[in-house]
Amino acid sequence: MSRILLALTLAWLILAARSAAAASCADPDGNGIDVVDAANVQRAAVGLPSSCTLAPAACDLDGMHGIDRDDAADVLRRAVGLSPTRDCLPHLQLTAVVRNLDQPLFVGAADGDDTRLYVVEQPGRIRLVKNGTLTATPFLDIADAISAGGERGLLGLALHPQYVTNGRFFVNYTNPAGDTVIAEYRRSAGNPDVAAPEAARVFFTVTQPFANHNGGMVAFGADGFLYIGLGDGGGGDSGGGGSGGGGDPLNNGQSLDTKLGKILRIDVDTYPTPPAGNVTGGDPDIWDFGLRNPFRFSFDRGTGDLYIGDVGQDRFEEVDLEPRGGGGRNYGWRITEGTHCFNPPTGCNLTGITLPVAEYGHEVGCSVIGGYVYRGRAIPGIAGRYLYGDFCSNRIWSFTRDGAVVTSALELTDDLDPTHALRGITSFGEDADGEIYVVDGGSGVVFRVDPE
Amino acid sequence: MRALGIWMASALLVVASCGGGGGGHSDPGGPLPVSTLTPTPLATATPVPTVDLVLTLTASIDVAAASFSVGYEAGRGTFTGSGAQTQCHLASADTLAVNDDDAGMLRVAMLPADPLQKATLALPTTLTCSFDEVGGVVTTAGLRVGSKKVGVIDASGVVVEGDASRLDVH
Repeated sequence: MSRILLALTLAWLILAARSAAAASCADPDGNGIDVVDAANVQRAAVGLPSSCTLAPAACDLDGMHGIDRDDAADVLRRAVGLSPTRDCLPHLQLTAVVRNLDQPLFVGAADGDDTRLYVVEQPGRIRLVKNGTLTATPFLDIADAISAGGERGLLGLALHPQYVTNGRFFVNYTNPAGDTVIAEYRRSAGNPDVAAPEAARVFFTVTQPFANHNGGMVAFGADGFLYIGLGDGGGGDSGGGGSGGGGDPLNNGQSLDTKLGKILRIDVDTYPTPPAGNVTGGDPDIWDFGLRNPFRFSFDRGTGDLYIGDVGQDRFEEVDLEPRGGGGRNYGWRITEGTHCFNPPTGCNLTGITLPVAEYGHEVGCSVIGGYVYRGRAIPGIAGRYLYGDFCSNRIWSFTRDGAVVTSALELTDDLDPTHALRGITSFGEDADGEIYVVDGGSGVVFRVDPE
Repeated sequence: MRALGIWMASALLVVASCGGGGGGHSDPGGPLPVSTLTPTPLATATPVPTVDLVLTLTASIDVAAASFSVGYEAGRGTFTGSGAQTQCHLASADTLAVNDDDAGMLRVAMLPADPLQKATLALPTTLTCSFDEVGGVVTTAGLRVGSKKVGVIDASGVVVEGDASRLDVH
């Protein structure tokens, strides 16, 4: 018996010694990438014993579909100094940070405050998650002042860049008449965990001709101005459901005389005086045009670049990219849907149109949810990678880019959501540290993207 | 990994054809002029001789993976091809990766073709690589084999680093 115990102890010590080495991608034994690592990955790929047993994440380079022969081939390439053929992505997971929300569709945080998250609920409440706990009293409740349902409701929240000191925040909601309101609220003077119930200011109200395509995003750019996403006003689907209907019958996307189908840009301190650089010759608040329904967009906190998820019609979803300060762009709608002609269906004139950097067809989704470029600290392996998803299929993708060229497009669905538990991605979000969140409106849960 | 149908923004370069015409005019009423240019002799490139350099690999132990470097005098030429496209092949069916830096160093790594069928390399074998001689004759004897590393399977089935001196490359 003692010999067996000794053998077991020795085996455990050997395993512990092996695992003590810091395994990293393509280097399961932690002593540098070499042909020994390649051999172990190769053996793991066919189910043989290998050092990957102790460090599977190090052997499944892209974090998806398990350890396979392509992983082994890649490690072998690395062992002779060749460029890798697949990215080394860390394994990721979704960690639920708050549950039991009522139709959540956005999460955000104030710069410099890593103790609070603000979650927007479509029926008209902003919920506060303080130190990881959902507070009982909503931060703001304007349910009586809005109409909600379909694509209407409280749709967006932007905390002022100096919110911690000035308590100003801005919302995008649908009023009882079905029109879009952009308004400012203030944090309560006496309690930082609730807001004053009355709006401090309404910047403008936009008449919505139909119930759908209301956009909804509001966010501050690196220039300190407030950017607002408005859809084309919809059409042909007055029920407000889904992304169908329309085709922009009023051609709002291409008209500079309406705020519909636009990214707007306002100075919250000087409004209605527009900031310099907006499009001239039409509505003074226009920053970009040619958008169908920019429900979610974001700014890369590392570069200031703008990423727009523009929901498509019946065929294509798109992600548009705009370098910092590069406004005045026409993103094509209704002339184009994605990179394809829409109206006219063939032979459209692409002059002056900025085409998307990424698109996907409706065979893999139906409503793009723009996300964020990861700039957090917990997962350095995805630094600079843009994550986005789809409301209908709940698939999550990512890419990196070199200029306007996508350089590494990888789907993360199987890694982040292996059991396909997501029920309806309505937004991504960032906390004060740049960690990325996924808002599942279907299940009422906000998840954080974590390393596995 | 599921490949994405990502469209990568790029510009299409459309190169207009010049039509191939010389642009001159002939006089349909008279004889065409005859060129009086003196023919210029064509430059004749001296072909670079290519030789096959054959390395023999043997081992006195069962080797599950092996790698080594092959140094050469860069002034004498380079292995044919570059990087992963370097022209080398194994006599055995094992998996080979090569990388010639075109500056005096070829790196070589080998894995079993299918570890389920045979867990170790099929040794002895030969590695044959083409070499473009630009500075005189190069032979296998002029190569410097170094940085040898071998993997061996331990009692638990894991590949660990073994005694590289048991691998002979010459």
